[in-house]
Amino acid sequence: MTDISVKELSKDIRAAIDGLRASEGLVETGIVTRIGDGVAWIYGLAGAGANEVITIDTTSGGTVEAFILNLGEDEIGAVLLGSDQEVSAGASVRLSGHVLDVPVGPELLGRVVDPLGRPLDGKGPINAKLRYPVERDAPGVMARKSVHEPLMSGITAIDAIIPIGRGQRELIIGDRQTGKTAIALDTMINQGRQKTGVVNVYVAVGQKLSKIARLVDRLKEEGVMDNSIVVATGPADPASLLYLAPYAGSSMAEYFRDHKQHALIIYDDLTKHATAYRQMSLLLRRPPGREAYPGDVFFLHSRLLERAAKLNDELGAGSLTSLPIIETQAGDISAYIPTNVISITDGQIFLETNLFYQGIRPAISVGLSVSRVGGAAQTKAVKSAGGGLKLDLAQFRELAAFMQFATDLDAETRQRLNRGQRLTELLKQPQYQPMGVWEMTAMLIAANNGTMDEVPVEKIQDAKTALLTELWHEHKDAMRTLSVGDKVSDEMTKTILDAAKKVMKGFAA
Amino acid sequence: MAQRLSRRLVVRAVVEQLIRQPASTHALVRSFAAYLIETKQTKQLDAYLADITTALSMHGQATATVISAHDLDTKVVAALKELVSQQSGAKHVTLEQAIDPSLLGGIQLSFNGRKLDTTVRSQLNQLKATSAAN
Ligand SMILES: Nc1ncnc2c1ncn2[C@@H]1O[C@H](COP(=O)(O)OP(=O)(O)OP(=O)(O)O)[C@@H](O)[C@H]1O
Ligand SMILES: [Mg+2]
Repeated sequence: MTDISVKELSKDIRAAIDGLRASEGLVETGIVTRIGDGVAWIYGLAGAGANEVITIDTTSGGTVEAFILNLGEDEIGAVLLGSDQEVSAGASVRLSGHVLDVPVGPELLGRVVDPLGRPLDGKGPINAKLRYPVERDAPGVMARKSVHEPLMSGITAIDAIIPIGRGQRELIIGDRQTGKTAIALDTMINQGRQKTGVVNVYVAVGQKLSKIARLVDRLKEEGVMDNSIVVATGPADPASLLYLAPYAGSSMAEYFRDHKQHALIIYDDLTKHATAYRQMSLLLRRPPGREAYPGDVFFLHSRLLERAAKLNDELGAGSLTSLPIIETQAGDISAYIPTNVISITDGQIFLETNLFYQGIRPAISVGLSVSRVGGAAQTKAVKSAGGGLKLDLAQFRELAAFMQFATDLDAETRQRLNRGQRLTELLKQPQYQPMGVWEMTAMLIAANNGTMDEVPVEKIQDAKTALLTELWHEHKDAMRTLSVGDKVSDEMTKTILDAAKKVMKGFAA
Repeated sequence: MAQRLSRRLVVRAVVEQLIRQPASTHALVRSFAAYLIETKQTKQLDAYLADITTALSMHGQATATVISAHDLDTKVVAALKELVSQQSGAKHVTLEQAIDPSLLGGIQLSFNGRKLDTTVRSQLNQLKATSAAN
């Protein structure tokens, strides 16, 4: 073996360091050749990387940041993260040497920020200790565990029929003004009400600022804002920010997932996100495909939604549940973006305009909604109480359509219709009133065992309230036990049914 | 119409010609100009020239530009040439000088798509930007 002289080595290293020092201050610069619509084309910067952040000098002596999306043979296409008003052709451009990142950590809780993590709520700077890149890899197969804990939305129709588990991706899909945001908001509120400790991250993609402000006010009013982060972008923000918002929000939520906590993220909505990406892609001269979206629009959403995960025990068993929202046109779920996202997620909650206007709110279409993994995570109590509910309701809707033509019905059919009408009425739920496990379970057990069959449809809601009041007053301890969510004992069922029979007498026609 | 090639390929061809047949530069210039007109790229001449400069430096002939507020001392010029030669690996360095009093002081040296900016003006701008951010 030859001797390695440390002295020689250190001399070489020192020389190398001096060499590097000499080149310090000598920065690679490019030049803006064309600029417009928030996109800059740049000459030079041979050492640039994809997604790298660059700094462009403005005419007023300041700078504006941009990030690289196109690496061409002869030029670079970059998207500005601010206004392009003060950038002119010939402006000089420098590489920053890092990809886009955002501040993450508990310091962000209770804050409203933009996709770069800059505060929008006027509550002063965010002194986060940590930053995560905006684009992060999704956990691999070995890092995951199957979804097994419930994420209660507090909406009976969802928790009983389309249960959501922690780490799941459940799509909320429907036309405009069908209560999509309302479901997401109620789910966030429920996390506070039930003290689940789940952190909420709400990502508004190009939403009207007045709507975002109202949502934030509501979160504050309900006392859940302290455990929430809102990433906001308005319709007037550059497309680049709308494009980044979901990824940035996801990084902020992943901090909790990776630190043994549970987080819930809502993307409101991915239709606007895809539109923003289409705008950017067309301006960057990428070839358009179906509906003028670029070829990689599937990857746009798959890489985002894959970041939702339930981590295994070695990694701390944290989770990130995502509820993306998609807006359809005239209920068409076979359009490009809806089919893409449906195929990426673990199920969907489909909202129908018809139902909404019939007063069935939340307007969930039982037949078209599914949850492919949540069943394993469903609370046992709700599962046993709500078993068969989906089938009953689906059959009822079918029969109800058919009934319009039938004159005389046999007893069994009439009974089915009767029960279906009452169940439908029972599942109506106003906004901002998420229900607890015991409330859902008790009312479903009462209805499924026929105690409410004699109550007129228009009195069902009152009867439900009366039943729950009675149970809470007379059997508080039993209801507390029921809230734990374990399988319902026969004794418990009897308590509920006895109370129900007593209460329903007062409502029967 | 002539086929439009990538700038990189055109530059490589031009530089090879320049080095192999320095005598026929005139003809090369004419055909290059014709190519730019035909492919409607005359506005990109600066980008082509910058690429050609970079490519030439890899063949040992670097060209650098220095802008300063005042005339430069011969010692400074020699030092700058030395720096460019070191950084680009080219033996022969041509330094093009220009004066711009608005820089106030210091120099702006650029070559091969890189820039060294020690001007007082840019330092003042930086100061302005950081004080505006806080
Ligand atoms: N369960 C409910 N009960 C009563 N009203 C509801 C319910 N859910 C939603 N609404 C009302 O319906 C309207 C539309 O709701 P929301 O804004 O959530 O719909 P959206 O689908 O998100 O609409 P957009 O397409 O504008 O985003 C709101 O005025 C809301 O208050
Ligand atoms: Mg909405």
